[in-house]
Formats: sequence, C-alpha cells, structure tokens
Amino acid sequence: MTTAAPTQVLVVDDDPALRMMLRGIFELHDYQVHEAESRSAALSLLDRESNVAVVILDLGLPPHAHTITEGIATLQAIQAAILPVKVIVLTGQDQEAAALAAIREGAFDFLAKPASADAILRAVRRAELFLQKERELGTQGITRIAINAQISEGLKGVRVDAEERLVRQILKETGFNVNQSAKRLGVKRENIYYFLKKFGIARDA
Amino acid sequence: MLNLLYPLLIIIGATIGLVLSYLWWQARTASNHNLALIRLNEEHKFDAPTFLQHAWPILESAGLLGIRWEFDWFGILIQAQKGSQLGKPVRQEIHIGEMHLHVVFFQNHRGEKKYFDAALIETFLLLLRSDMWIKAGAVDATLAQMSKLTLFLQHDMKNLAQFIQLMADQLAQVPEGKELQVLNYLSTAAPLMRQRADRIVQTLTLGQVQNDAIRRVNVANLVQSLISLYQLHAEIEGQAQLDIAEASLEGALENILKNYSDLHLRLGGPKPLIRIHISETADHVDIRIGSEDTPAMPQIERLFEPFWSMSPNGLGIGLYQAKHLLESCGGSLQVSQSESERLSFALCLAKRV
Repeated sequence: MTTAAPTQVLVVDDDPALRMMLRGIFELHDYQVHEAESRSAALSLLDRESNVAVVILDLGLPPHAHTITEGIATLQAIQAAILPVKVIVLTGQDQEAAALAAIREGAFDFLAKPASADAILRAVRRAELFLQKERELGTQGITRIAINAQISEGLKGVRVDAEERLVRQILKETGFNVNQSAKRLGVKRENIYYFLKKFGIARDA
Repeated sequence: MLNLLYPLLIIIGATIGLVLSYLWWQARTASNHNLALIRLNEEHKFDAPTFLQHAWPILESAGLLGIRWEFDWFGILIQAQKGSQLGKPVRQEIHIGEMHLHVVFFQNHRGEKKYFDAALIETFLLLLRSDMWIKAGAVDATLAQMSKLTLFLQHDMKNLAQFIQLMADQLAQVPEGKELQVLNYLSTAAPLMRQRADRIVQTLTLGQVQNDAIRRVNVANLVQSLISLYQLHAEIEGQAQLDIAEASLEGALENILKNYSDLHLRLGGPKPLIRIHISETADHVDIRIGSEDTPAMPQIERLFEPFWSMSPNGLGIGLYQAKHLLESCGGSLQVSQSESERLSFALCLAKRV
C-alpha cells in the first residue's frame, strides 16, 4: 500500500515561537513544514523546494516588521515567479489595508491574527483543493490566470496584462521552451520572441 | 572772539552729555526689561499661556499702556486684557501648529521711546514664539513616540495573542498518541514566547525593573544563555563573578546583544561573529562586546538617544534602556568606534563580592 506524499507548507514569519506553534499544528495534521523568517529565506526555499503547495505568510517581516511593505514584496515576488503555490496571509497588521493589499497582489486567503488553528487548517485545505483542481484543469490545457484590472483603463489595459500573465505562465510551464510555448498559445515562434521583448521577460538564471 | 564761543561750546557739550546719559539710562532700562522678560519666561518653564498671563507688570513698567490677547491654545480660546485699551494699537499674530495668538499692544510713546517699545515688543513676541515652537516640538515628538510604541506593541501583542490561541487549540485537541510531540512543540516555543512577553513588559516599563534582587552572577554563563536564546554566533573569552541586580544586568546585556540579532535580520547574509571579552580586577568587572562583521555606524553620538533608531524595525529605546539599567547597578556603558570603524560596547560593573 502506498501513501500519498504529505502536502508541503511553508511558514513565513519573523517570530520563531509562532513558527514553532504553526509547525506543531501542521505536523500533527500530517503536513510537511518548512520555515522562513524573511523574504529572501522564503524565496530561496521556494526555489529549492518545488513541491511546496501552500505558503502561510505574515506581512510584517524584517526589516519592516511593523508595516506590510516586506510581506507584500514577498507576495509580489512569489506571484512574479508564477509558482504553483497558494499564499494565505496570516497577519497582525492593520486589517483593512493589509487585506486589500494582499488580495490585490494575489493572496488566496487572508486571516487576521489571532486566528484559530481550525481556521488556518480550513484555509490550507481550501487552498490545496483549489491547487489540485487547477492542476486538473491544466491537464486539459486550461490555465487559470489572475489579473488586476483597472476599469478606467478599459479593455486594452486588461488585454495587455492578461497577455503578459499568460505568456509568462506558459513559458514557466514549458520550462522556457519557445517552440512548445508557441504551440500551446497557437502563435508563431516569432510572436513569442516579440512577447519576450515586449514584456522584458528573461529566462530564469 | 573765541572766548565768546566757550560758553556755547560748554552748553553744547553739556547738552550732548545729558542726551547721551539719558539714552544710556533708557537703553539700560530697556535692557533690564528685556532681561526681566527672559527670566520670567524661564521661571514659567517656557509655557506660553502662563508667561503671557504674568508678563504685564514688566511691560507696564517699560511704558506700554495696555495689552489684549486672544490665544487659541489647542482649540481652547483664552482671552484677556491688561492696562488701558487706549493709545496707538500695534497688532501681531503668531500661528504655530494648533496654537494661534492674536495680540494687541497699546503704546503712547513717540520719538526714541517708540523704538525702545518696538524692541521690547519684539523680544516679548520672540519669547512667545519660541515657547510655542518648543510646545509644538514636544507634542510632535510625543505623538510620534506614542505612535511608534503603539505600532510596536500591536505587532508583538498580536503575535502573543496568536501564540496563545494556537497553544489553546493544540492543547484542546491533542491527537491520541501524540501527547509527547505536542509537549515538545510547546517546550520549544514557550521560552521564545516568554522572551517576547518580557520584551513587551520592558517596552511598557521602559526599563523599570521591579524587585530586582542582588544575586551572585556568573557573567560568562549569563552572556552564553542570551547568545543561545537569540541564536547568535559569538566567541566568549574570560569569565567573572559579581553580586549584582541580575535582572538589570540581563536586561542591559539582552538589549545590547539583540542589536546584533536585529542587524542580521535587517541586512541578511551570514550571522556576524560577536567577540565578547570578560575581565575582572579587584573592584570591577569589564565586558567588551564587538564585532568586525557589522557595518560602520555613521552617527555614533546618537546611539543612546531614546526613540532614535537606524533600523526601521527598531523602537530606539534598547541602548538607552541598557545604559540606564547599568547605571542603576552602579555600572556604566560606553560605546566606541575603532579605527576600522567597528562598533564596540564597553560595560564596567562594580564588584560587590
């Protein structure tokens, strides 16, 4: 009998005591837990551990632990890397502003501290379910993309944003293979090179 | 012919002498009035409304006929008048922050006395303006400090609340057979959270350590425990024992060492190696703390200033607190920068063995 590999969760918080408590909660529910205390540590871990499915992110990270700046920058970096992870924000920062900023930058869920273990676990399970269904859609050639649209800019702004997001995602999924990306997008190779230049997309180092 | 001019010259000379004496006397009187205003302002601790209220006798003796003012003091209107409201009015306004002063002076002087009056009024207004700037600065600084403190506590308090919430949740539903595992998580996390709670209390009390009993302390052991707590990278050389208020010494050392931990979190990269040298003489213990891996400090003279911090994350009271804690134990804390521009702290503690 084979058992499924445990879901991997990354806890990003500058407070070691909280990281330890969250580790306890998750490990007792059979999750595999990674920890990071800062943006750089989180990004390098996500780079190394490709199987992380859910990130629990505190927005108050050093060196700006009392504002949401660093947490939002971490969220933006995760979104820019188009990683197959869902980010759940768990923060004690000013709720209104933090929630708005987090949702705008693509957070999957927002929980205000103090949140119950049950609420955190439910959010993680929802994120897992969404991720799984998105993967299933991916096998059918459907890619889910999220964009922030400024209505006042009209359709053009939305189209450009969606175009860029889709091109980045497909390139990521094909391992930056231009031929495969062109095929999946139904365009010519030259169009892919045009998009690379237009959006300033560079192959990951 | 020249003899005829002598009386005239004597009269002219005497007149000039009299005029000069008169002007000298006037200038001296005006100077005394200015000095009296300055002293009065000091007596009233640079408080504009009180100074304004008590200045009239000096202004009156300087020859002003009267004064009237409307003072909007942070939303409360203070109105008053002194002396006669007749004579030539001179209107002035001062607006600083939430303080607005409209004042009218009444004067009746002409000729040179008009200028002495003008100088006196300018001195008076300058003192009021200075008092209002001092008040505005104090209000701004206090509000900024309160806001920083609130932000700081909000972050720590919410983390503490989250910790308690998770601990309660975990204890409420311990899966069967995993009791030991839960105990392990709690025993690892609880001391870390205790430190967080201590930091909140320290912040709130600004270093007022209660019931700090004097105990025999092994300095090297105490330093080592703090190094382990903050997971710092350090080399400790030497050791010493002394009788001291242990909590104060621990608080001071913690505040100093935590700077290195914060610096590492802020700058990233490898943890700095902290070199700690402990030595003792017959009557005191010296502790030197420094690291060659930390960047140069551009404004070393501001390190002990409360609420000043180079770190956006810092409250700016750690070193201020450390200095006061050590001084309360009869010790001292000094900071210096070596030629290689590396910061080092020197603690000197009296031995009471």
